[in-house]
Order: sequence, then structure tokens, then C-alpha cells
Amino acid sequence: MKVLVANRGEIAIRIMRACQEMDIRTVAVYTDPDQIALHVRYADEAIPIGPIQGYLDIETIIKAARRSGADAIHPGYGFLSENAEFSHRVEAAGLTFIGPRAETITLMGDKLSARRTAREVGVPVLPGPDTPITEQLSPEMAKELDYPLLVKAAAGGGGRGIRLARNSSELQEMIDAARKEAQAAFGDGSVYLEPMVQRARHIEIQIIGDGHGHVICLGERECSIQRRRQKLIEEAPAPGLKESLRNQIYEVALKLGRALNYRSLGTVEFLLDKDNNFHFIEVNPRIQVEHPVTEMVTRLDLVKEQLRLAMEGGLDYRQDQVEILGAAIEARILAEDASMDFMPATGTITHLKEPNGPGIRVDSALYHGYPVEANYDSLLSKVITWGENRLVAINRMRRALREYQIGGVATDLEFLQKIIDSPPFLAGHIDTTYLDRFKPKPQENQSVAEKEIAVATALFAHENRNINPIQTDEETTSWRETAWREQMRSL
Amino acid sequence: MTLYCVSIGNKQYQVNIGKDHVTLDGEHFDIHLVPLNGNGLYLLRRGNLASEVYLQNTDGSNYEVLAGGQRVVARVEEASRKPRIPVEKVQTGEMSAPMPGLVVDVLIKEGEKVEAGQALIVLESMKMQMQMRAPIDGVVKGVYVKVGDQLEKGTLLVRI
Repeated sequence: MKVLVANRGEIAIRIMRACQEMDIRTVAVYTDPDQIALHVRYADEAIPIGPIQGYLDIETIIKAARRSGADAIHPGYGFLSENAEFSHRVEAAGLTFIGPRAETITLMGDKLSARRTAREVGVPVLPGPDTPITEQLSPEMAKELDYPLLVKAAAGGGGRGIRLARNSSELQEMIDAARKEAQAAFGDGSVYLEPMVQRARHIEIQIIGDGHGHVICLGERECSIQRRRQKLIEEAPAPGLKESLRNQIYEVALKLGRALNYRSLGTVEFLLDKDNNFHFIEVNPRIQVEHPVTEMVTRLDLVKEQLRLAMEGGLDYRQDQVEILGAAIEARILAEDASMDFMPATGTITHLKEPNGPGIRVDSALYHGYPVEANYDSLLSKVITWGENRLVAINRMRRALREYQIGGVATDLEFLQKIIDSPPFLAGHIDTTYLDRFKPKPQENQSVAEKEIAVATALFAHENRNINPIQTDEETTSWRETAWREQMRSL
Repeated sequence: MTLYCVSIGNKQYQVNIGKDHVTLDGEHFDIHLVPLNGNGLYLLRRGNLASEVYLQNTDGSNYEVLAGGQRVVARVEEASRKPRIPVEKVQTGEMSAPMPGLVVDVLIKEGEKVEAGQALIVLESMKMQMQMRAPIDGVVKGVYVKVGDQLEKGTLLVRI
């Protein structure tokens, strides 16, 4: 068995690690800027797929699979993972697509057909028509609607193509903006309207099915800590969720999974409003960024399960064998500058030390010298911690975030620390707008005080000045030679 | 004495670095930086405090500092620029002290074979340790300093 991983970054390595443990050979694909990326080094074989956009190039990736003699393709998340045409073409080429059937991807990829399907099987769905807005809304029509409203792309995903309209006068503007973004991102500008659920929590259910009607539920994840509709911190189980309500949501997710005759891994996403009503949002038919928290509490390897299903076609587990143990949290380490309104940061990783010790897992594609560029998304690494309860997992996360040293590029490490230290987060009082209201406080009781940093930096600068004399028209000096060698040694 | 103005956020600190003491805003400040990997990672010691610190000159007067889970961008400006320190030229295998300092460690003996880049002597100056590395491959012909020596700038250390 040989698997081509049509992805990059931490998820490509994550998938190859599962392959390695199952004695499956791996093939990486890489674009021009990724020639020495970690996933290329990890794979048994690596095949170039051209410029930056290569990870979206169906033709080239299938050719690479043929050339390497791979039997199957794992799409990871993002890129082609939710592209029905891709899964079709993979199977038409006689290869195994590690994921749901193409028809499931088609049905769930269009958010409106997903809503319709969910509604038909009795899953609670937010009110609103299951059809896209086709014409200009007249001001009279716009005034009749309840606000705030969300304008969402029918082909959407990953939080893209969504706009909030607070009143009828800005509705048309937001529809146009969402349309434009959706057209650019998905090649489909259709949008629809959905009521904005105030103070809702994002709760998602992990399901896995064998494609022959056997679907089981691997618990939920709470992903309410989001910024600009991008998840930042995820955890399992959802804090403070009543057992009866939890089971109700599981049942609904399973009902949908069975109706779809679901194959492989999938996530059914819900909004839970403050009155404990839950509403279906969408299905993500793929492995998700936050899958490790489920792995930590279920002690299952979700990627191995995907691979096993693709190879053997059967599920090894029954629902009564799934047990949730303790609590797990994931924090996404992003290249972004908190002092610049969280704009994506770029740079080269000049220093790297990952956290370690009990209960900590790091899924990362970073290395010393890694160029952080704007080519791909800003996710650098994920830290996942487990504890026998939520507080233990949080305390471990605090330790892990403090231990993590990333030099050369601005990251959200400190911002994440401030979130997990905030009393509402600790109490589990979170919703998807939490970060909109969150005002980070300066950290108190730092282990290294600012004045110590000031003096250390001055000393360092003082030495540096001696190492690099202002005038450089002389021959190499012993001191500069030494400094140069020092640098060479670190390469 | 060299006076530096260090800016972190909207705070400013006056750091005065003398031959063997450092002051912060006029008060004595006892701090040590021990290099850990030759790549900007140091052990910062102050009293009982011992913490890893990563320091990097990012551009011009800007420095990136990682310490205790924080990432700080600091700006360091020299308040009064001292005249340029004359620098030593490389001759064959002669190594001399690039600055006044204390010999903390001698890592080789006479007659030993060394490789270019190998650390031979550890000097401490301005409370910061620096490894003196061999400029060329060869055999150590003479070691002219011992642990504890206080050196003037330019003192001959090793001949290879």
C-alpha cells in the first residue's frame, strides 16, 4: 500500500505519521516554495507539482499519484479536500480517495443542499429558504427581515464568504461583498441568508462511518473561541454541556450520518443558542484541523481509522466501545502580529524550541530556517494538551504555551495565554463572539521582568556592536571571523 | 561607559554599561548572560533567577527577545557613541582578546590538534560570555592565559 498525501504543512506530516505506523509507504507532493518543507523530508518519495497553486491542481496531483505508483490519495484539510470533482477524478483513475464518497462531498459542499438534506431527515436547521438570493432585494423586502442577519456563501467553507448585516440599510452592501468573496474563493457567487444566532456556542460532532450504514459518534468539540470566524482554541468535551443535551445532539448528528450512508470521517457542526436550542450549520466531509482533541479523549487515531476504512472497508469499533476520558484542548499557533491588529506576519524561523513533557502533543511543520511567507495560511503549529479534567488540561496548555519558543516571526502565543487565563474562559462561559469583546490584560508576574529584558538586550546590543564594527573596510578580523563561524555553525 | 536607551512598547530604560558593572536608570543592576547555543539563546541569571532568553538583532536598532513565554520587540539606541574600537587583524593562528574581559574557561592544552571553529577559550565581558573559536585548523603551539586572568583588549590568548 502506498498513499499520496495531497497537502502540505502539519497535516501532511500528521497523515504520514499514521502511514508510517501502519507500514504504508508515503508520497509527498510539493510546490516550488515547498521544496525543502518538512513534509517532503518526512515522505518516502516526493514529487514536484509546480507553482504555489499546485496543491489545487487536480490533473498534476493525479499524474503524480500514477507516476509514484500510489494506490490511494489522502487530501488532508483545505485545498482539494472538499472538492467533489477531485474525489471523482481520483476514483475514475482507479485510485482510492481517502474520505467520503464524491456524492456526499457534492451534497454537503453546497451549504444549501446540506441544509435541505438535514431538514428532510429531521435535523433542526435555522429558519430561512434553502435557495440562494437570485435578485436584488428591494428596500421594502429588506425591511421585513429580522436583523442581525448573516449573508453566507452557498459554496462556502472555512469561514469564508460570510458577512454580517446589522440592519436593512447595509444588507445589499453585505450581499455584494459576500458574493464577491465567494466568487473569488470558490468560483461560485451564490449566497443565502441565515438569522444570526446571538451568543451561540459552536459545537461540532465527530462522526465516522463505513459507507454501509454503520456510523458512530466520537464525541463533540467546542470551538467557540474564534476570531474573524477562524477557530483559535478548540476543546473536548464541551464544558458545562448537560448530558441529556449532549446525547440529543449526538443522536441528531448520527441520524444525518446514517441518512448520508456516511463513509470515512466527518464533522457535523451546530450552533447552540443561549436557550440550549441547537441548529445545524454544515458538515465538513474531511479530517479537521482540530481532530487531535478528539484523539486525545477517545485514544483513537482518526487518520489510522480513515486509512483502515479505505483499505479494509470496515469499522473496528462499536458505539459502546467509545469512551471519552478526561479533557483535551488545542491552541492554534499562527504567524500573526497582535500589535498590528493580528495581521499575518512573515519572517524566517531563527529559533525554535517546542514544549514537551506529560500530556502535551505538538503537530507542527516548523523547522529552524522555515520561511514564513504569505503563500499559504498562517497556521504554523498546533499545541494539544490532555488532562484528567478541563482544569488540568488548561494548566498544561498554559505551561506548553510558555515553554514554546519561536524566534524570527510574530505569533499568537502570548494572546493564546491571555485567553486561557481569562476568567470567563476558565469558567467555560464562552460563545463565538467572546473574542470580539475580549480585552487582553497585560500579563502579571512575568518570570522575566521587563527591566531584565531591557538590560539583557542592551548587553546583547553592546556585544553586537563590538562584533560588527561600524567601519567595514578592513580585512576580516579575528572577532568578526569568530562571529561568522558562529553563524555558520548554526546553519 | 556606554549609555543605551532601550525602548519596549511605550516604556524607556536607560542602561549604562561599564567595564564591570551595569546600571539601569542609575541603579546597579547585576545580570549575567551565558551563551547556550551560539545562536542567540542565553541563560539569563540575576540573583536566583535563571531563565532562557533568546536575543536577535532583527534590523537596525531593533531586537527580538523571547523570555518566559513573552515575545518583546526592543529598540536599543546608543545615547553617546564611543569612538570606534580598533580591531585585530587575523594573522596565521594567533588569537587575541577582542575586548577586555575575564578568562572563564580554557578548553585546550598545548600540543592539541584543533579544527577551525572549535571553541578554545571562554571569555566573559560586560557580564556576557563569549566563546573564542579557532580561526584555522592546526596544532596549539601556545596557550598564554589561564582561568581567572583579567585581560586587556588585544592580549594574546592562543597561537595555533
